Amino acid sequence: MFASLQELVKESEKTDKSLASMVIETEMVTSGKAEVDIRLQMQKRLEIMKESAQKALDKPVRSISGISGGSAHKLWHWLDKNEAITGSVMSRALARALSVNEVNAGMGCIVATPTAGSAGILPATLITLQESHHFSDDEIVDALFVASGIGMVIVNRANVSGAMGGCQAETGSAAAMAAGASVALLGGSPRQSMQAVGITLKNMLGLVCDPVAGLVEVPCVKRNAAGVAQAFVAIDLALAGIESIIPPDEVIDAMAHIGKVMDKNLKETGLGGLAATPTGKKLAENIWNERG
Amino acid sequence: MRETKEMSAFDIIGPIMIGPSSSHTAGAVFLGQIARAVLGQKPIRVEINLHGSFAKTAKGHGTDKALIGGLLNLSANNERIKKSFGLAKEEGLNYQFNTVDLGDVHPNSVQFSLWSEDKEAHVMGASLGGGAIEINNVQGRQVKFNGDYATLLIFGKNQPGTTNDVTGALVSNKINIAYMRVERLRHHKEAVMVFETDEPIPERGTKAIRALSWVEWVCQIDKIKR
Repeated sequence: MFASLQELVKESEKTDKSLASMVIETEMVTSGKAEVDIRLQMQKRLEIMKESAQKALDKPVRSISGISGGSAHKLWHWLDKNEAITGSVMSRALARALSVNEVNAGMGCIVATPTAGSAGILPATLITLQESHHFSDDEIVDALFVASGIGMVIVNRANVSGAMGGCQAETGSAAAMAAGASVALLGGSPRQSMQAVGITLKNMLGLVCDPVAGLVEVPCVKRNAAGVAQAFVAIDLALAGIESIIPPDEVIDAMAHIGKVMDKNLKETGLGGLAATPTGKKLAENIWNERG
Repeated sequence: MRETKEMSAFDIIGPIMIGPSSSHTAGAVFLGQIARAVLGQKPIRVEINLHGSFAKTAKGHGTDKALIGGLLNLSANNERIKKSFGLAKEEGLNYQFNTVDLGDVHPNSVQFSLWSEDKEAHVMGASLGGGAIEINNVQGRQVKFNGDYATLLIFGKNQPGTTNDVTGALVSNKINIAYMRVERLRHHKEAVMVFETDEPIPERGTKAIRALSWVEWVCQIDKIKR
């Protein structure tokens, strides 16, 4: 069932089941657990997501290496007194995405969604929609199952690893999962959900993984905010009925191909892109020398 | 039809972990936990040799703290990992990190030597990404397992019937074997066995195996809690 997004849509239309219940039912079969236990397992993850999305807003969190931190707190408090150009919903989601990834870089507890480096996008998007649209935790848990169904299709057709597919595979996949899950949450059809996945991924194709000093910080933290922005773009477009000219499954295949041909220096090795800039190299040298 | 991988929804939404990196932090915790399980008790001294990317980015990723956290048996989602150096001091664990070149091995490789009052253990492994790990050397013997199952390691004299002895002990304890590997080392004098089982082997099971005349060394390692 998770071989293609199209299959998910077809199955959902045929059986008149929601995407969430399809994913939950599959999980019940593979794990042998009852629905209530599976939902509880996801609820526990949601609670950790909420904590990590809040922690770096309340007080500045610095990374272990010391090269980054404090952005989430800065944005959150700026929003108190200023009107964000991105609007009150998206701007709060941006701050939450920064928070999760700053908590991650500071050795705090997060849920990898799908990876640690891209862990901010999905929680920030869903938690903020819960706040603005008053969704229940149960509805957010449903959305998280939709997100995991989308993630499974991406893993089956491509991958979610920066080392294998670049940043497009990490933050791109995370944003695609966030967009698809949000469309379902906001009442869009399964087809619209998958269009949101396709539109998001299309807009993030080719993004390289070029972390300074090989650490999950620069540019990862801000790219999580960017992933949220892309998800929001796709949510509105998809809900308006706009479709990707290239079918979403083919977009995932294109991402897999781009990941394959992408230079090794641009796949989490810390050797190319931003990592290879004079400042990137200097920061790396400082961190590595400190180890002694 | 396209082949699909066997996956859980919680492989995508998860694991719950201490940041910043599933390979350099969570994987490092698991490696530390397994090194301690091989020793079978609380270590008082450990030497940790870091290779490649583990050596280079240990500090920034908190790999060093994660390895010590694992040796202290902290889980990968325990926020105390960040303070593991202080905890090690409290618990009387002396540690030393070295940078080494282990040659043509996985870039995220680590070698542990650890001691308790009366035992010592030597373990080498690698963090493969996404929290997946591999152990490739225990007590100087080449082995291969990944901690996804309860694992039983047995070293002993190579003689007919040894595999039968072990499977017999497992069957009588109602343990189902997922994978097994049996090799002969040191000019066929020594048998090295790795059993990965669905359920952990109860104490009386390992006791029975330890009592076998040809068995020289046994170690039971729990499945990694992800």
